[in-house]
Amino acid sequence: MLLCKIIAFQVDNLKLTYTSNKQSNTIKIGTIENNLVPNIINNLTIDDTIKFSFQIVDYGAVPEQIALLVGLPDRDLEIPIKPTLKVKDNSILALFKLSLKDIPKSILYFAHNEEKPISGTLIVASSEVGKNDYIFTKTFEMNLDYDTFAFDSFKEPIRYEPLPEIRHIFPSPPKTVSPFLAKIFVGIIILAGFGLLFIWVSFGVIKFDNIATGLNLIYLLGFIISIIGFELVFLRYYLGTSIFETINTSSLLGIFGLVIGTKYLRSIGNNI
Amino acid sequence: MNKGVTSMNDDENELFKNNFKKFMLLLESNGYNYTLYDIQSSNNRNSNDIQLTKVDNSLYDNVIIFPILKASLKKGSSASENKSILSSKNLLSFFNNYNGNLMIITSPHINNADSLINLLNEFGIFPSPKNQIVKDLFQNKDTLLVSSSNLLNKYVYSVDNDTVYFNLGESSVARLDNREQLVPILKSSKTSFIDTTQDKNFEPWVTGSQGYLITGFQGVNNNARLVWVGSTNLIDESAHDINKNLVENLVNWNFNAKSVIKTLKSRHYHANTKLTYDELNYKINDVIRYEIDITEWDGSQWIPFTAEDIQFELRQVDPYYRINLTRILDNETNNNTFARYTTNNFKLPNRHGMFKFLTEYKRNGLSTIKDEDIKAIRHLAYDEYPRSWEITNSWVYLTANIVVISLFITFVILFLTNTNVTTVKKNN
Amino acid sequence: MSLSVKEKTVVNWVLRALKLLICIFVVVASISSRLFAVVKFESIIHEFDPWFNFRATKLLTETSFYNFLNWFDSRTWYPLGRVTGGTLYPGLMTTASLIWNILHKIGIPIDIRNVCVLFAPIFSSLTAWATYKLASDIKDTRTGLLAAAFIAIVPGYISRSVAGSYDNEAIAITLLMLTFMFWIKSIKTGSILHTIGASLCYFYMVSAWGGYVFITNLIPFHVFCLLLMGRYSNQIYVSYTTWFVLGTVASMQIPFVGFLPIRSNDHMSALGIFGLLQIVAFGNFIKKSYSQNNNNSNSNGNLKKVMVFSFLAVCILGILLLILATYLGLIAPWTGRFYSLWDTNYAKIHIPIIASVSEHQPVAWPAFFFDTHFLIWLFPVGVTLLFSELKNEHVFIIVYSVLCSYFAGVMVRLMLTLTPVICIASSVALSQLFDTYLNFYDLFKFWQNGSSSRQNSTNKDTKLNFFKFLSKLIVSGSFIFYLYIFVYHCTWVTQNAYSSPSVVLPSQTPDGKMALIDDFREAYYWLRMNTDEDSKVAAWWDYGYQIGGMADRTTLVDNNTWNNTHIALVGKAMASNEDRAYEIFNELDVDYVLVVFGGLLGFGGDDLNKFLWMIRISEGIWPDEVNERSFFSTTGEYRVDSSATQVMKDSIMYKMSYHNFPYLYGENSGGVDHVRQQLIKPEDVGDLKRFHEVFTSENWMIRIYKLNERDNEGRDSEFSVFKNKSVANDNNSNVEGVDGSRRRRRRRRQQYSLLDASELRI
Repeated sequence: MLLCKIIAFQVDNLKLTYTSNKQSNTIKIGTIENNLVPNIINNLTIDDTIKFSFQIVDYGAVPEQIALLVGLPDRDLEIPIKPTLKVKDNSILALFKLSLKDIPKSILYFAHNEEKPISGTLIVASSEVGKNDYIFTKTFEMNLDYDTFAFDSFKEPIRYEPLPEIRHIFPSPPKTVSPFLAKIFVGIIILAGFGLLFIWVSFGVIKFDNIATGLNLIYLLGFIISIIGFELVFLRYYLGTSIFETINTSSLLGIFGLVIGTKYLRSIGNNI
Repeated sequence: MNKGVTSMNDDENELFKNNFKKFMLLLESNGYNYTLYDIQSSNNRNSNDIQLTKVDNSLYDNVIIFPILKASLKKGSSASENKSILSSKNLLSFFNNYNGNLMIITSPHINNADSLINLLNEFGIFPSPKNQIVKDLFQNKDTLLVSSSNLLNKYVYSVDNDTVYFNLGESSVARLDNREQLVPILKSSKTSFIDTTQDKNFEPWVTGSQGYLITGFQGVNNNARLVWVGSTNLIDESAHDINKNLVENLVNWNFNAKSVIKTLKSRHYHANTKLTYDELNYKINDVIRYEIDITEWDGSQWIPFTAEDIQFELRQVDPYYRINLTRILDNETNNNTFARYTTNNFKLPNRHGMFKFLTEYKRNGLSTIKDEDIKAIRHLAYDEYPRSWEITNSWVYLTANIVVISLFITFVILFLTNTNVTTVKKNN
Repeated sequence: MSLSVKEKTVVNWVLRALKLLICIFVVVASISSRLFAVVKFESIIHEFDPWFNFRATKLLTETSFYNFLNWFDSRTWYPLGRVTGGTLYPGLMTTASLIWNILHKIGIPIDIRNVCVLFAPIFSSLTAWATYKLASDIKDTRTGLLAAAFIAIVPGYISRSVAGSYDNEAIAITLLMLTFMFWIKSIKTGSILHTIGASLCYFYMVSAWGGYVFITNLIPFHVFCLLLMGRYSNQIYVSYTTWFVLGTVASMQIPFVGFLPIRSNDHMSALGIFGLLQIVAFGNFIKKSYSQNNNNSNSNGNLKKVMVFSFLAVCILGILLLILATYLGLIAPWTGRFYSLWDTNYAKIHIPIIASVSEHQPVAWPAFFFDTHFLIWLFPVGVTLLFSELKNEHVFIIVYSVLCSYFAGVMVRLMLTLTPVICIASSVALSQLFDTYLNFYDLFKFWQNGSSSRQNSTNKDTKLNFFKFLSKLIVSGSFIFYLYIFVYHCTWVTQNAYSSPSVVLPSQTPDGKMALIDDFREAYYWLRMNTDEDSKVAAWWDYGYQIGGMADRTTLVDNNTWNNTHIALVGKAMASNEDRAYEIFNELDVDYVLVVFGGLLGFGGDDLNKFLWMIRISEGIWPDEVNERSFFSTTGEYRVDSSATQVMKDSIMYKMSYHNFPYLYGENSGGVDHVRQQLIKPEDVGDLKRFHEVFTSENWMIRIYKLNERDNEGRDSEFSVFKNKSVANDNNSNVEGVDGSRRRRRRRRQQYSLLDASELRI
């Protein structure tokens, strides 16, 4: 009853079954202490199984707590594996069998995402024995071949947490031509305008010898004023007057210009 | 702050007089007025006098339910009728519609009432069945001692410096589903287990740190809170000195006296002119600023609530902006009751539509706040675009226009006031 | 016999008085025949589109023109909003508010609604006058009067211009006729004044209706035909150039049109003909100056060859350039609406929204007769008669009628544009006929002569004249009889077919009296009075304008259909199961869902009949989430009773339409859907968990549902402790359900929780 020493801790038959050759590997760990460096097993697929067994010698009753926790201890995501116990005389043989297809999808998902191995932690304790002899240690770590496992259907549950900051990206304003280039073209146009004027002048057109007399002069002035007036109306419209005002003014101006202009043009129509 | 508390229990009143006396005193010292109802007593067995709500109002703010035997709700007693306050329908309605808080204590030694277990299952809490008592031999083999490093939520209770070991005695343990509204408070340690050596007929409910000893729940819409405790030892006299702080904070959190925040006012306005939306509508590409005042209840008064991760969102179905709010500390807002947060200046997106100005702060254990305002952001009017002459490309066309118009007028004038020029060609 | 001058003036005054009288009668006829709807029902805006126009006009009268032009409508197309100022044609609203303002200024304060309702009849009288002027230019004033009389009462035009039909066509047809009237005048005279009138009316037309593109293409096509016929003249040059320049620049002032005239393929023909005309004018100029100097006929022939060749070369070059520019994306290709006029299958495959509108379907043959009665067979006669004279204006009518006949055959809505030319052409035919057969002048003269000098007449002459008289009497008599039948037909059609506001439905009580089915207005008023001002209503796009106009609530989609994806989103929500629909509606902040159900009454235009279109439109955008096949039963039929597919029964459209319907006539009898003629049993209709019913109108036509709040415990709609799995505790008891039901369970040895063994708390 007092004896609590687990003297022999043999990990027998730690079997790994590879799907291709149906090979099984065995690693013997021997005695377990609480600071054991865990064995690392790699490249396990979904069809493999792991068997983990040990013996407790010289002990009378079954310890109350024998458990192998498989999962990610940092995240508290672990599943317990129940052992099958065989009691022979004074020793107890405990065998854990884990088929990798029984590992829950959440563990696979997080192990895959964070690239951490899945570890197996052994806990052995009994109320009859002192605390120093309790076993609580990581015994092995697994790195799985995640391509063979199907955990795509797992969705991470929502948790309340701050989300990344978003700032709206504005489209860049449209590119405009450099002012210097624009000014050059403006200069060219003005030059062309002046050139035309110059040609007119060089034809000798500026004589002002056909100005109408009397009533026709008034009509002529009215006609010219209405033309200039229309240009002014359009300029005001461009600078922001509303369309209704523009229509109003242009209709009034139009009637005026039409009447005066037709009178004038009829008077000189024969002489053009 | 007078809050009525009713509790219903199955055990004799002696239990209350002896074991829970200090707990009841604790309740009183925190300002809760309570009324005790005994389901089992003959007064209440055949009457429907116990009412939590009356027409549209609730008569009580909080309810603590002590462990109730299933047998006391057996068929025939009025307490098992649907109309009884202990039906899950009534309790759920009390929680949902009347914003009542619930504290449910179950015991691992008895068959707990079905209605309570069903209610807890609706919340995603699945307590262990009868006689499944959790033990942790690595701490103590007689009673369950849980270290304070297993506390999960700082808004409920947290211990800063040294670790304390809470005495939970014989407790049941629960599994939780993955809802985000669950607020796990105290989890069991990795080395805990359920002893099945006596009765080999059942599977242990949970092993290791997937089990939870104290859990809370906060409603989505109304911030009502529920707490489930698996053992009566937590509030027992014997463990009172060790557990006192935990129990006090737990009760205050449960009854919405701790970790409660609310928004006072929020406002947004143009950044440079300080005009609000009603004075001058927002249009695209305007620069505006958003502020919100948040306050917290510390048990006796409202104090400023400080946090670093409150976020503001400008949404139109999808968020266009998500900005971390910073606190303003100046003389005007250096108030004792609220804290003012601002987004600083930001530019409205160049998309018109109805946008939601949303601040929602949801953290596990803290009451949720949501402040939203939907405003229309309009497009540019036809005279709010840059004028042609401001765009360099247009200079060419404008000058061409002006030159042509002036040449035309000149031509008309010249044509009408001058005779034709005839060039006489010498025909030699 | 000749008349003296005095008699001539008397005759002229009598003629003028007669013309005036006839015009007054025509005006009265046009206005009064459109008032049936007001007399039978009330002064209400009809249909769907006019409600939006009415809302816009109200905004214009209440605020300023600046606000109207820059109006950002935040009550439609939630959450996108609609830039209304730039996406509508302001002519109609501006005119109505102008009239309202003038009336108020002169002291007659008429309510804006009445102005809008009576808008169309007033303008139809103006149309009659414009048609009179136009037809007078084609032939003579007799033709004009006939044409005016026809267009005043012809049903094809009345259908879109009854009192209450406050839509763009009300003013657009008037402006169409005015523009054409001015155009014909200017083609005939070459006067710039008339052309300015044409371009100003064209500008007004562009501001009023999207169908202005018809004028934009018809006038250039007319000029092109004249060019091809070799009828180039200075008048054509002056008219067309002035019209094009003024009209285009003026039309670009409308915000909706903007730069379309130079950027879109629809307007390219006008631009192309403009360029072509310059070249033809230049060629003409060269020919004139060449032939002035050189009278050699041989070189004339060469010159002609050169001109023809260069004409063709320029045409082909222009078309190639246009194709290149369209390919490079500089010029927009034909819009879908116009493309579907040429390729009628295009819309069904690519733009199901356009295909789903019943007005866009091809015309059935009887519709032509229904809309124009005997004018439809006079119409080809008139067109043929125009071939005999074939002046420039006749070419215009011929071109107009040929083009429009094709378009009217493709789309019912365009029957409206064909109607004026039918009236004109048939009036030409009829007046030609009456010119001969109603002309008893010779006979009267003969009898008068004959009575004074009977000896000179022979028996044969008398017999001949008698037979002439008889034939003239028979023909003109029968045509007058046709005219009488025409008036009778038009009035009957107007009264019975085109005068109902589709908002209020007429029906009959069992004893034959008229009863009104006013469910729509009842429901909209309930919405208006009982919901929050800024609550959002999700309904199919047909009812968007009405909800916005009568219920004054924010809608998600409406008749403008400018955003196909948003409409498809609403369609997807209607076709999905409850959870998915709740998610979609929550994202869009919807508060109420409105569904139209005609099964109790037999109203065939309800949402279940439109459901297929909702599915098709949403399938176009999300083919992996919505599948049209899955809504048809295994035998390929569209069933709504027990043999409907599960997808159909799960969709919220089904559940919302039939919610509580099977219990209407007793507990378990089931209800008969009178539209689809099928029996709906209680077990077919599932429960609604995310929505609850808040309103159903008197005849169950409109049903309004409200979204439930989110579950306080965060459960999804299928979660329940008591559904399928056993309870996590000792059993053999009466398990109490959360909903109060009781169940018995067997005693079980093992207990297990609802949680999957593999579900861990993360």
